[in-house]
Amino acid sequence: MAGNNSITSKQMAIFTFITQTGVGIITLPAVLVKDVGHDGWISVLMTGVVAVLVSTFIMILLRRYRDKNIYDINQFLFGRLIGFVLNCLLILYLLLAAIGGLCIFTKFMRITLNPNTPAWVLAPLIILPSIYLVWNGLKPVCRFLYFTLTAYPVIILYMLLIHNDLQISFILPIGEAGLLSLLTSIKTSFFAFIGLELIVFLYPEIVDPKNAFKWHLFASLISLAFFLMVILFTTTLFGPNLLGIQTLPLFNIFRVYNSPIFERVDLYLVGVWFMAIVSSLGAYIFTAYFSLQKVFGLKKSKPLYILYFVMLILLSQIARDINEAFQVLEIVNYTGIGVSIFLVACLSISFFRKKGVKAQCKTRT
Amino acid sequence: MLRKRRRKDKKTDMFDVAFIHERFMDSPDIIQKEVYMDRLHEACFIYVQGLVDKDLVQRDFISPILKMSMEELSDPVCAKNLPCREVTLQHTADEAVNSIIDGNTVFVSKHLPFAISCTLLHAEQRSIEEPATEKNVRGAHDGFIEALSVNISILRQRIKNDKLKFKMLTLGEQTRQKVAIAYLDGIANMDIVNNLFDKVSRIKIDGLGAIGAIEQSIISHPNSLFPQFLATERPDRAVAGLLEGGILLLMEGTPVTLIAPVTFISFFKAMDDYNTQWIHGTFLRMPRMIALFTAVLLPAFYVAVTSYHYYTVPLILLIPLAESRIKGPFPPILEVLILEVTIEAVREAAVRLPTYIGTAISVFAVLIIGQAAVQAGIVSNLLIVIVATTAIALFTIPQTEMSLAIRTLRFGFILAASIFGIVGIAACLGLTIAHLVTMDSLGQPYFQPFIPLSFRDLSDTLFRLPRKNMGWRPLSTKTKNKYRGKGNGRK
Repeated sequence: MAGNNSITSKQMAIFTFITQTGVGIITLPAVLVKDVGHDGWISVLMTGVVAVLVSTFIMILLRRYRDKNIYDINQFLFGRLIGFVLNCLLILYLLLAAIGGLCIFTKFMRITLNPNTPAWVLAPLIILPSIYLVWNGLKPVCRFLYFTLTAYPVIILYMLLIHNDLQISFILPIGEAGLLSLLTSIKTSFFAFIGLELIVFLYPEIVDPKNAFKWHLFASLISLAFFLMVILFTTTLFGPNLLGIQTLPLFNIFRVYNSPIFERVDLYLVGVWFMAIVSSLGAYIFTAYFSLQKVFGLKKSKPLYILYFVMLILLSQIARDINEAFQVLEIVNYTGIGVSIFLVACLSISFFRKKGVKAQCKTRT
Repeated sequence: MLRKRRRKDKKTDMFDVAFIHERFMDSPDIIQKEVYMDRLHEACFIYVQGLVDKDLVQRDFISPILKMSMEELSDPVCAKNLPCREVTLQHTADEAVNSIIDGNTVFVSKHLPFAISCTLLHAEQRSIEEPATEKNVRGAHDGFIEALSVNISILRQRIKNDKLKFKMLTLGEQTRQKVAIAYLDGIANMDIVNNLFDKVSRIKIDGLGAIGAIEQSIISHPNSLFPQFLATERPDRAVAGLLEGGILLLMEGTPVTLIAPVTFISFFKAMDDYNTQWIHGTFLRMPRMIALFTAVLLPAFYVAVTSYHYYTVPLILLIPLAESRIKGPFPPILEVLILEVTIEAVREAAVRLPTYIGTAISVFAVLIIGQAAVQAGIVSNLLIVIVATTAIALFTIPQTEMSLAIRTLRFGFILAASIFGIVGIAACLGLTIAHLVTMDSLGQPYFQPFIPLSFRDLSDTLFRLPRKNMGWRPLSTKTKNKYRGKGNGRK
């Protein structure tokens, strides 16, 4: 399937947006309330600004090397050996994110819908669409995301249905947590924005790189808007005290509305959000698989592919309960922050070591 | 031995009649009428009984030849002046044999350097009727038949334009069936036409039982449940496909033609949608889309809810459902499978049996078996309603292939729901969409215009906009002639 990895900047933006919002938003309001109380939305706003800045730096880095991904850039900046080691570490991060996502999602499903089904049975089921899509390439993965996008209007419409239950007084007084707490909470809420770095692995696959900058920034801004909306909504709906004792506040919103005919609307809405989580997870699974192929020069083979997914499923069983799954996610969060800092550092270094940059400029001119 | 004879044939430059006789040994349908030209030279008229118009052959071919001398017949100009509709000369015995098999009458003599062939066909064929599986209320009532030449003429009658082109092929090493690829020059994308032609011409097979065999040989997703070519027996639908920039595949011996490239939504459109006001067209299409979701999801939801998520049932319905279910000895999945498989069996019986018995079988099965099953406590009342609704929903889908795909698909959903509940349904839905977005029809995205999204083409999907808003051809055909005319026929 030649050209099945080619995507447009717009598709890449959707890819980034869904990767960020799919998993991150489920727990974010509850996690943030523990750090900054009802000022979670300010923390998200500040993190959003940081995320937009990081996105900008990443895009400047990619533009300097034009049609190269981070694996090639590392080779230019750090030489073959160190570059290869760094590339391996980046792949480990991607694998960790995929495993962490699968881990937490399996636990979510056990808590919300299938308490009696073992996690090792649920995990393959959850990634079933990803198994099919990743094999077929990035283009089908991105096309699937268009379908996932339909989940967002459903959730927003649902929120409008229960807007009468909101109490603005729950977020007052604004800024009570204090600036220091808000600043330290950025590292907590940055988890939600993880996914903005995936473009560095897939940049050469974008057919219209000229538009990539604006679309990538747009994706980060839209994610920020969505996070803000959900945080404000959950905080004004439940209040900080009730929110603090919840694990999955997004799913708890779904339980608020009493439908006249359908009992338990939440079940259907969790089903709708299932696609967003699957897509978010699929994005990491694809990027990790794609990176393994690129860095180690692996050819497309079914046995290896099966082995890859078996490994993912087995490793996702490490966490025995949701608390351990959260610990895995915390590692993913810190690693994600580390990767973002590393990418900004790469940009700085690229101004001193201009090896790849010069070559690109020559070929372009 | 045959090769030796052919070589000999070339050396002497005379026609090898014995070779033709040998080829047609044990062929009682091949008539070989021997004559003596100039009362001296042995010659023969050969044709296939039942494929030629005997009267015309006698009048326009045999009689004039018998009045001519062998010397005159040796002259190609004189031979071509025979008063037949179409006269051709064959210079090898192989060509003559093929011409006879194609239904021509051939005159051969070892004293002539070529065989004279005339085309005066008259094969038995059924009359043009409305297709039984594609009924229509306000549209035309004609349909394609098994004869390819007639089907081509039907298309030509409807498109009186020299831009209607046919690329002809012969497939089947044993059966030598004619296949035509029809397209409108200037509208169809020639890359797609040539691509299809190449794909079809590469098919190496002894014979094709039906046009579906061609489809299965060239589609890019042979293991998919979903049809990738749209099969129709309706000329109006075929013409609509051509005008949209599509390509038709016609085959000798079948009334079914294939339209490509197509999209998923094409299988939910009927010609009646375009024969009425746009509001009615939309109104007609809506139930089909609802039927799609009903047929796929409803039985699966029943299994998921009754097996795992009983708390989602409204309280008013929960008590009657519980009462109904308490009598049944089977778990929900078995209950559903029993009834669904029975319905499938009834449907199959109704299709295979004569119409009057088929109707009786359907009524008997639905009324008697359904009622008896409830009374016996095998299945619940609610399930009868669900299975009946699903069955009716499937009937509303205009294309048999798509209906079959959904019938099969719903069993997958039912099984997933029985194992994983609503998560199983969501996973199956995800997998189905993943498959749909990956598929293509002749290289064009199958799930267009939804994914990739094309706002312009949404005008003829879940709803149908007024004609003035449908003035362009769909993107899926990759046509370079995008517009159908200013205002699409409206001032």
